[in-house]
Amino acid sequence: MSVTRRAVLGGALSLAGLGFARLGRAGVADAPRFVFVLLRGAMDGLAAVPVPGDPDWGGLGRGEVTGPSLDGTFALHPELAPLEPWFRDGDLAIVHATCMPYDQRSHFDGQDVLESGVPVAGARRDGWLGRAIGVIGAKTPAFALGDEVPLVLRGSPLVTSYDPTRSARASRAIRSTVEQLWASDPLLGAALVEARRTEALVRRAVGEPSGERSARAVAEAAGRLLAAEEGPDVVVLELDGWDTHTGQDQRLGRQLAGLATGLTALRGGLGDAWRRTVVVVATEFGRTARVNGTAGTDHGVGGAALVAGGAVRGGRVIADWPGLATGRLHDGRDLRATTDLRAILKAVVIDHLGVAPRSVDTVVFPGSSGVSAARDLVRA
Amino acid sequence: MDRTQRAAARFGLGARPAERAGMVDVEGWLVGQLREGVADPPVIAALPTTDTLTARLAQARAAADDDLRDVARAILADELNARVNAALTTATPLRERLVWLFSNRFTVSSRKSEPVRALVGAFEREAIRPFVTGRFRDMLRASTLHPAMLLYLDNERSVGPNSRVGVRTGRGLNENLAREVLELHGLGVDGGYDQNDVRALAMVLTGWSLDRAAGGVRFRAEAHEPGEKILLGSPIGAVPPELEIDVALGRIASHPSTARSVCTMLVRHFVSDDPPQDAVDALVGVWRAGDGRIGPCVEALVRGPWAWDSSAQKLRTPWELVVATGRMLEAERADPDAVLRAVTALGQPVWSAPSPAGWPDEAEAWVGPEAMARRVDFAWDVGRRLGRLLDLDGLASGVVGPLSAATAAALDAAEPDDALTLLIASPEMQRR
Repeated sequence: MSVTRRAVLGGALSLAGLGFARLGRAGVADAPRFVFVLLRGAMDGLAAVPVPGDPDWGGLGRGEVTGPSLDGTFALHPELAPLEPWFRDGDLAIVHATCMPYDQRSHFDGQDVLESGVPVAGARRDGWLGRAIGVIGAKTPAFALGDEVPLVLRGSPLVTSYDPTRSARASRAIRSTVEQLWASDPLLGAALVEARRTEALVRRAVGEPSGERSARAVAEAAGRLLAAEEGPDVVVLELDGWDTHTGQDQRLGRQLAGLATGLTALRGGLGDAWRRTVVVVATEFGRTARVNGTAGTDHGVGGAALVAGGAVRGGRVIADWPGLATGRLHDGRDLRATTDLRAILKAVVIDHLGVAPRSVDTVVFPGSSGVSAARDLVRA
Repeated sequence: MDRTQRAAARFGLGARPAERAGMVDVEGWLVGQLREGVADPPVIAALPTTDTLTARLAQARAAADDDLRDVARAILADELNARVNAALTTATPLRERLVWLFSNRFTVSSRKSEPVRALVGAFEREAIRPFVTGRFRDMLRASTLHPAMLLYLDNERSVGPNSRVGVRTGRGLNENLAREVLELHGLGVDGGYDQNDVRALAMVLTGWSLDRAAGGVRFRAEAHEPGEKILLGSPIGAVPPELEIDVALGRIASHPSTARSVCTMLVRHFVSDDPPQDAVDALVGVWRAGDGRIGPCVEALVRGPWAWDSSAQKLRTPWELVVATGRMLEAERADPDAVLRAVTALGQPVWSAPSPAGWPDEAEAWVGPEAMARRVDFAWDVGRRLGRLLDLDGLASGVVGPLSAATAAALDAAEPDDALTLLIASPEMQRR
């Protein structure tokens, strides 16, 4: 459960951050697009991507695996079955036993680390994606779809938030007067100017918003914006509701179904631009390996992330699998995180967005020089 | 700076017409609201107790699922109506601010389930309201063991694995409530606890559950984890199982990290997004001297210099903005449903925070371009409906103002239809 202010996508998904990464591609149809989907509340990685091939799987109390098998060891949750063809076609990679460098199990600190990109929560007021865009230089703003700009995008030299479902809008005349009134207030004034520019940009890129409120419609709108010549290059979407301490089967099934629907609609909206797109779906941490006392799972460490898109070298599970035997678990309870999630994010930032590796270690993920970017994650 | 203007905005909910005329002694007006025994707004006092509400839910559940949903929604509608009404009319706005602030610290969100939806208002009335000027430990206990909190953070189903119920059924612990009591309600995330403390508190909490038939809270000894628990470095000790929680919460409430966490929250709320350290230190001293009483800490803020510094300016959250607008316009013009629709449109639906961390209390979390555009939409919507009906000069000078030269000039230059919109959108209304 978390920071999406209004339930833009059917109660769960808000689009936070259509960022415009290799930004200002105006007229360059081949420029890379990047979508970061932030799952707030800690998605249970072992439920989304179960591991029936691990000899200790049966001891976790997680029941029979009924979703499609990926490679004999890993499988997908049944509600993620729509993504199985993506995996087969090489458009989806799974990262497992992964986490940011954080093992203290607080949602809010964990999300802070995931967004800020530094291991100490609260240490920065900008995010790794915002800083990455700053290094590249932006000609178009990074968009948050939703009301607010999440931490991960803050620090971008150009960034905005936009909600295609908003209907009533004040007249341009009155907004212009308010803009003048706020001109001397840097915080409020700048935001209102950005809102005006954003609406104009959206109108040029994809026309008037439909106002349709379904999750599918909003995700598709995000895809169309990304695909449009004048649209953003980077988008951040936020999904709440992953904190499944009880009755996990039902609740997580709904969440994952929504995720699959959203990703499918996003791809539909992107059209041919899918070819040059990378989508990273990540969460603050995983959950306990074993089911807890109330048919749910509690906060853990290692979890799963998805990397999708036509620009991804997919069709594989990226994991240094630590095993599920009790002795192999973190503190005897959580899946160990053997892949620093920064390795994946760095690969995207370097190989897809085009940030120089040196800047990545100093600016985007400062202090991360010991973490090598994953190799061959993105198609050249 | 006009001290009545600052008092109404910084410590209150925004003035109602004529309210500031009554503030002859500004500090006295504020401190008087912190006395214990100040009555709740009548509209709040009139609502039913949790026991009555849970009994009503039990009846509905026995009937049919549709009934449960309808009953929960009807209860929530009454609660929301009362909360809005109290906000728009109260003569003790500082108390109301404290209610919201602590209700947010101890967030219960209606997004969880039908029963939580039905009880979230009662939670605020019963676990928060009575204690906002009293001892924090009393609020912590009332909150932790309130049925709404036990449901929201899943404790009602948590079972000691070695309890009779645990051994018989194989059910076990749920850590959710224990973690948030330590992290969000009490010590704060860096307050000096670890995973072992989370487990220990979760075990202390086992058995605290709901009595679905009779309503209210029930301690189920047969689900309580037996044996010693070590919390924050020392044993809970040999007390009857149902009293372990008092030892545990007392220890958390009196922990120095809790004092610092609550005092920092107060200073952030009333003074600045970047709480000045000397203000926090001063409040922590008052907290210690006053055995963890909240009222004296707030009084220290009222009497201290920090909140009166005119350079310190907080952004009103959507709820604060909509309430301040409603008070300015007089409650009889403000339809509670319209208020609720407005705060929802502005991204802060009442009692529906997206996580147990509640709503942020820092401007940077509320100033996205889309969010700012929505604030203008809100001002415009109110302005075009009501602008011609009001004495704008009176509002501008005696309720919101004195205004800055820029705002005054903009109002002077505006078309009559636009003046109220501009007043609501002005920095004087957006900030407090």
